[in-house]
Amino acid sequence: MGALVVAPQDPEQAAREIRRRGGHPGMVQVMMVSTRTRMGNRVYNPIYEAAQEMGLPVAWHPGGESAGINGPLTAVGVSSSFVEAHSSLPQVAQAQLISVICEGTLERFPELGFAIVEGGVAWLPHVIWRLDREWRSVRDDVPWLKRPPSEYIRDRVRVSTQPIEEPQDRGRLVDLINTIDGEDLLMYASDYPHWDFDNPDVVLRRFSKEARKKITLTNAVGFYPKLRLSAPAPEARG
Amino acid sequence: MAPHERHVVCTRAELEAEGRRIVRLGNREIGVISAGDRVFAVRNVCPHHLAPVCLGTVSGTTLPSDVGDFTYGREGLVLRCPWHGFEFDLETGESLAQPTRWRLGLFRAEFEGDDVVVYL
Repeated sequence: MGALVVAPQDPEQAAREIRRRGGHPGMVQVMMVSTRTRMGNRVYNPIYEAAQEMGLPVAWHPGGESAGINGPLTAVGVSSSFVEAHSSLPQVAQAQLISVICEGTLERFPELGFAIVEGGVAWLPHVIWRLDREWRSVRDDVPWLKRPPSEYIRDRVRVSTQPIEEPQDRGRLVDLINTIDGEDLLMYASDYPHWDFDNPDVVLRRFSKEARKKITLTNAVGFYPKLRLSAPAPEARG
Repeated sequence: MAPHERHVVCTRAELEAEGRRIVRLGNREIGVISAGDRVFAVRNVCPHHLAPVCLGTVSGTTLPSDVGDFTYGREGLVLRCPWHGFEFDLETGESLAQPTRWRLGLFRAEFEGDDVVVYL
């Protein structure tokens, strides 16, 4: 199983690539990194159109920040150490998610799924609550959003777990995720072979058995259309 | 309290030639690590994500310093877990980053004559 990584700086070329290779049975999603323009911007519509056509969700993944012709890792400046950069990455994930929601990408492309990969998860309650609060007052600015932002997230967005946050009491993270019924939104990721990977036996052990099954299996199978076609139904495995 | 079990792991010459040896003693996997004229015995499980910590590098590290300065020290006394890079002090077992949260299991190890001995 793989991701079709495209160069988002040339959306038309990326769309051609998605149509050219997106039918490969091993490709389950399109993957993009950050550039200088947030992912919800209409310049990327050719990518979303092609991805939707090929049955591939689009995922954000780190890698473009502060690189080549792309923008800095955060708008307020670059980082001087790995720990600074990596600790700031979730801000980028949040910005991209907020953009995709507010620009109406998920309305324009009603079959499209959006994934955040390698952005951590503990910020999700904040973004969900913040988006809904802000939108309620200025709904008329973004009238293409017909439902609260949180509902788009629940239906169409999934967030991979790595690098999962590690409070001293790991149960606190479970409590935090439970505040938004987040066990339905998470997909376990190891980030193997990177050194900062997550051992699933350790990082998931405080989730309930039901939650672990969702996070390690059924959420992803439900989210990726091409997994659904090839995997037996989870229940059938007994 | 039961008396410690005494285990002869190998000869001093063998350990000094190899640098370290991972052995199974009872139901525990132990890394026996030589550092100059000292020897350490470490449970081969990292408290963080259960990695085989004794496969990591043994070296010194940068010590707490003034802002912008790098001062190297603790040569041969820091075991770094091969998975996430956590640094552990071989003398105390404590992680350098969070000494009270992450700590290795240490056992007494000695050179006794030509033998490398671990007490469990």
